[in-house]
Amino acid sequence: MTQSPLASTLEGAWRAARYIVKDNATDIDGVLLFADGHWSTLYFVGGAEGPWGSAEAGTYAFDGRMLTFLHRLMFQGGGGRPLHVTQAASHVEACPITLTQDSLTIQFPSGNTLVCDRLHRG
Amino acid sequence: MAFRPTRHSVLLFVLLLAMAGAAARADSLSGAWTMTKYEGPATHGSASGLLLFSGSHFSLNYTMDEGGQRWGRAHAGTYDVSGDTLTYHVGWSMEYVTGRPSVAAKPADRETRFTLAGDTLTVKFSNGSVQTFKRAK
Repeated sequence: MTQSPLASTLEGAWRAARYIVKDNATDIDGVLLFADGHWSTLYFVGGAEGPWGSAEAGTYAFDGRMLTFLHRLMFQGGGGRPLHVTQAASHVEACPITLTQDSLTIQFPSGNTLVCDRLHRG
Repeated sequence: MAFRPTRHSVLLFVLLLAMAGAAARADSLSGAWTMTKYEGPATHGSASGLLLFSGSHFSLNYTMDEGGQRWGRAHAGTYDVSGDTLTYHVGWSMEYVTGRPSVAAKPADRETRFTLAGDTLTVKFSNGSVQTFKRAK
């Protein structure tokens, strides 16, 4: 997939640190990867019936300000939630982001915000 | 002053050469891979997924059909390569197979053997599962 030079600043692994819903931070544990125009995430959220998880993947575009996720694969379940699996998701999320060397903040169209810290080479 | 190789300098050279080779093999995996085939210990039918390698981290998400139902697995963490051995150091793992959900952030290592032929990556697990990927364009 053709990639803009700007995308190289996003490339790599990010750890999901905080997910903010209506000014309330939710505990979240997971990872977000960007590689060769593709993205993938796996994160867990605590719940009364144990943690539930979400794995999502697809392609992305980045113009330096807006990060656009094109969803393709989605797999969610656990924690008492029903299984949700699709290999053919097609929704698009255009998200303003704030990107520094070690921090990535994504503002989703829903109004929720995800704050990530860069994961360095292990 | 003439350089006279000592046993230590030769060992250091060999070690650096081995490390460079491992890094080169890891770099050859770097990027995005689309799953084209999944052969498990049991037949799982068609499968679809995405495998990413970026830096020292990986993410593998895939779904497969079995018995008219669609299930999924997702793993993420770090990885390393030594020769034809690809080891996933799984930090996050989620499975939902045959009705049993499992969500865990327990560290676990998965040692696999891999072959890379052009744009095709084949990963073999010790339980007999074989995953085939094409480099994503």
